[in-house]
Amino acid sequence: MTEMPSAMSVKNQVMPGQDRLMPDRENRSVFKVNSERRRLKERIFTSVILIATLMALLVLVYLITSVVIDGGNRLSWDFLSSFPSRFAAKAGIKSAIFGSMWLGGLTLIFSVLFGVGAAVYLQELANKNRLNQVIELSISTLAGVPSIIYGMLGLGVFVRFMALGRSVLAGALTMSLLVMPVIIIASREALKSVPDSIRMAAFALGASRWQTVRDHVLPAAVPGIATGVILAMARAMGEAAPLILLGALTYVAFVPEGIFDGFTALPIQIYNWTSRPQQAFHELAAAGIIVLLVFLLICNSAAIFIRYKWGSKK
Amino acid sequence: MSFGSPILETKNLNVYYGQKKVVRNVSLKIPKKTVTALIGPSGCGKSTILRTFNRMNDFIDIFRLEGEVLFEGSDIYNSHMEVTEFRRRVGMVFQKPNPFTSSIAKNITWGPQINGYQGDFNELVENSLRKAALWDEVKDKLNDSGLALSGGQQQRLCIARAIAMDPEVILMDEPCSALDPASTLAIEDLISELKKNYTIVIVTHNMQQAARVSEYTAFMYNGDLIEFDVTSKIFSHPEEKLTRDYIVGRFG
Repeated sequence: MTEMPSAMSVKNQVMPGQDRLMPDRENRSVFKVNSERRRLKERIFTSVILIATLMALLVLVYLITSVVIDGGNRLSWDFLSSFPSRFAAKAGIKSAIFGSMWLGGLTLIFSVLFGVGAAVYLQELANKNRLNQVIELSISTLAGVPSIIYGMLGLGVFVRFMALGRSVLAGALTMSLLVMPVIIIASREALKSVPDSIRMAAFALGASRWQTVRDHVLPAAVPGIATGVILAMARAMGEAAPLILLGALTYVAFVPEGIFDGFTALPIQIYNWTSRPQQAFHELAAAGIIVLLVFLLICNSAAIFIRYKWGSKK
Repeated sequence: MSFGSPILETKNLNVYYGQKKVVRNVSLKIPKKTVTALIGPSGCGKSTILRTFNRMNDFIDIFRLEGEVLFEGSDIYNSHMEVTEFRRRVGMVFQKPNPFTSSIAKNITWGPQINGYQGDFNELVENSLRKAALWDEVKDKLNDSGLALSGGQQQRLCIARAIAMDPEVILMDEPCSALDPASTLAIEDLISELKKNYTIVIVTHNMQQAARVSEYTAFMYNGDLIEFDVTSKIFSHPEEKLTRDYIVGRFG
């Protein structure tokens, strides 16, 4: 019995049913702990936050089950690979899927380019002067502007003034404006969390600001920036209002082949179908929602995967 | 006390952070190829002076300077000074080891690479790590992350990174304060080895360390340079009462 002396001695000290941790409970009247009450409060607190979590989950589960019940049997290869039609039986979302992909891809390019660029400027290069403070304030304000306002802006600037027409380019530029504040704010937070010691190390080696940011600060901030971009893209994919205002088409029997082509997108197609009186089109809308959700799920998983890969490299 | 032409020199240096004057009228000469220690209680301005030597204070918005800081006789705060080129010649090791997240080899080669180094990079990595007494420990894992090393090894990697730039001066800002005694000893041995080829200026809170590694010691108090002399003299027969009180540990 010599191999575990410590365990033995502990066992000898604390006998079952004997509270060694509080040997003279009666005498220490200064500390009056109502353990019963404390445990009760603990339990209430746990249940409240659990309910809060369940509420969010419940809403999602309700949404998913209701769309699956409504539109599940409409999902088929034909639905995915057909163009819209005025006959519900023949209608599909091929043009909406391709439109959304074009729109998402172009928005990703523009918003990352300009959003991350602006974040790097504001966080790493800009002096703390009045102009930059005004820019910062404007960006946080822009993040809260309703999306329909962006639609009006896009209509005025891109569609009419720049004469891009109702093209996928005009749509993507509008969407980029819409999501840029989110990307800028998230990217700035990511850059802010990169420790200053890394910057100082680079500067002390005679690096310029650009070299320091390019080789050390930005790579360290990529996981945070990726998170911001995911959230922003998820928003862009689900937005219908600004596109409707831009005049994106609702009946499109072709796939965009260039940035100046007309387009439709999943949320617009869904919106169009829900506003029709026939039950069959409502089912199609539900099926479209399922496709949109799967789309978002794939985007998010891909981004999480990239972030994980990037994080584990270090 | 006399020595040849100094490599670094401050003339009537005043430094302000906003309204606060943190260095008062300091004139100090750093001799070549020696170790000079800057000692004094916290907030006395020793780190500030160290940072003026490679202009790392430039990144503090409220920093302002009067007087001159000379490197090889020319004023480094002159607007014609190419500060990035100048920082190549005056390297720095920080208080906390701060290797880049990239590989050990890349930690060494990045600085020379952005400064247009023309030689062989593999050779550079080996030589720098050898000079920093780290080669034998890392030669088989040059592609591992610099962050995978122990604290003491990371600090030696940072010294190797500074050496790779072939500087004339290496500034060290309390390089051992985040390290355990064994790693501290390794760094101190390294400093004694490096002074053959480089001028080293070291800020330290540890008076025994100053006494062990340096030839010259400057004692600062509250922004003033109180005394600057040969280390052995500072520690045995200081001229000023304030210096003596600090050395024997009466305050600080």
